[in-house]
Amino acid sequence: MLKKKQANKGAILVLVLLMTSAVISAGTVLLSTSVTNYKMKHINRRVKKAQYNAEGALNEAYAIAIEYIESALGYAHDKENFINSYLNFLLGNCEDLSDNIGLINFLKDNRNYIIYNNSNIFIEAEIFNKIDFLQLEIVASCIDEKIERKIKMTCHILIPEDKSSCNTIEPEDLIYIYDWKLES
Amino acid sequence: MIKMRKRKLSSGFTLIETIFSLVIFLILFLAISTLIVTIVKSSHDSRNRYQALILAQNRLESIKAMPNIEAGTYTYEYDVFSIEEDVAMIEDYKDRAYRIIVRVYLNEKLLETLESIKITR
Repeated sequence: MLKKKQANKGAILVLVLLMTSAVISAGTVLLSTSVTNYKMKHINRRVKKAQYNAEGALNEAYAIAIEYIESALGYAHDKENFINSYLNFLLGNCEDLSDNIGLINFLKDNRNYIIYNNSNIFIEAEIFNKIDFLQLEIVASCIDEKIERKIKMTCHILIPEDKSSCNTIEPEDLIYIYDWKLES
Repeated sequence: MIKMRKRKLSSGFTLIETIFSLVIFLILFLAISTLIVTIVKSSHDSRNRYQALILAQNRLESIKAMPNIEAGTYTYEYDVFSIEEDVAMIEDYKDRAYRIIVRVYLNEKLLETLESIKITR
């Protein structure tokens, strides 16, 4: 009888330690699940913010392009060779204008953006002459530490037929979005 | 005689053992309960922020999809959140571009802000 009693000594302590370790294990699992969930939501939030920033920058670039087309129309209106002057203004080949840098260089410069001029937003632009129209490709990327969102927009810039159409045509009518895709 | 002494020596051991175990258990229970409270709070906060982000995103997309847009500040309630939409025309782009800022509040605390531009044509 005494032997049995002696054999039970310390059993409660062992039981408590076992229970405690079980609770600690459960707590650790819960904590890690919760932390993972929190991290994932946080990353998702940053990705979305980067996406909206890149998208916003592209929209602003589009607005800038419209403004630039308007300036090109204004410049070419008084010139003899309307179409060439219009194209030269857009491509930055106007010799009579010292500040004519062309649409591409204008779009690439962060200082020309009113809203999306942050240091974590980058704009790349290229223009291709396609006989009947100009193809403008703009890539906006927003980098937030390791997160990068890159969106590419392809626009077509139309060339007005002659000077007379300049009075009736709006700059918005001369540009349209051809393609819009997420690069990364 | 020897057996009696041994019995006397071990008497009260179970009580000390129980008290000692209880103390250990209580200390660990307190630590774990604090941890659980923190987890529940952060999980709740994370859920609110996520809901706020989804709300802000939905509102921003809805505004961008609207055929017409009017500048102004609009505020309304949605469930426990209050949403503030700030639509402003960007002067430099004439009436071609509008800046949209959506803010989501919970108990007057700003949870989320999303911003974008809408080109009217």
